[in-house]
Amino acid sequence: MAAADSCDGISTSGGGWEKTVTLVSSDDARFEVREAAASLSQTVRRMIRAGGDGGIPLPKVDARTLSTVLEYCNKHAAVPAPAPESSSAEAAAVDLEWFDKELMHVDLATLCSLIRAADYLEVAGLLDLTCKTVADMIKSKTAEEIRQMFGIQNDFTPEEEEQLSRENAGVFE
Amino acid sequence: MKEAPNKRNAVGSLTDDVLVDILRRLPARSLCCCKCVCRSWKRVISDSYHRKEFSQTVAGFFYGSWWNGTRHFTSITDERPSLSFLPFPLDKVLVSYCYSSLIFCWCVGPDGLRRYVVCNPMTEKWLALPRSIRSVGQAHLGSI
Repeated sequence: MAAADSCDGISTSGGGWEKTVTLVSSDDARFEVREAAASLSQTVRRMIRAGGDGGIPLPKVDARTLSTVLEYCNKHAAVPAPAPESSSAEAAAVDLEWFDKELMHVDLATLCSLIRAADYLEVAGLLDLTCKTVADMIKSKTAEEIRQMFGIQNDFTPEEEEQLSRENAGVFE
Repeated sequence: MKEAPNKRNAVGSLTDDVLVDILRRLPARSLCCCKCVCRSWKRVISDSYHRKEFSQTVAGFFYGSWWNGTRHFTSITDERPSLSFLPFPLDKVLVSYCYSSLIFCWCVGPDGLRRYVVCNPMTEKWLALPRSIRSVGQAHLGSI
């Protein structure tokens, strides 16, 4: 059965049996992950369906980044869907929010690596979280502050800058 | 100025789609700042393909005379809002009233009767009023 080939086997978790898959980072680190967690990545989910031996290669994600992505997936896949408006649903939501906030306490380069990985792996929740975090960093900053924060070079000519400031006259006051 | 190595190309390696995903979360004022960051950001923000994703910025304003019921549009950027998504000949469309991002407009159909439409140029969604409404003296739009 092709779909089962990419699954490394089964492992126990809380007394039950769960399928796991092995993901291989660009630097050849291997991560054994519960299939339910790995499947939060649409890219991985498709590769599991396609089947294959020796783990799922993810050549665009290094081990350090993949480890953080999987931390996110493990946490979010572990949360069962409780009945809405129940106290446990509220507690789970607060816990997840706290977890997400903590996960985003990283430097900018790491954050951008996470965005690229979430985009490539198609982990919608993580992409949303990371993009929102960067947007919050940009908000209320001037163009020069944004350039400094991201190390972007100002490649406008003085004439273009002059025109931009004319176009935006009133906006920044 | 030399930047710390971890900053170099931090966002430069993101695709346009991802950059749009970040920028679409910003209010219009921040978006104006972002437009001034560098050429590639300006290109992405100005691209008409992406514009629907972003916060709405003022493109211009309608003005006109109450006595003849028509409105003219004056652009304050180099862009003109297009009503080409409407199923009417563009030169016949007359804007009657604007509210927020909604425009109430009409045109005279081939049968000589007025067709009224409420549209949002940002989303390019429109809604035709029933044909039984043939004449609207003064229009006001609201939202609930």
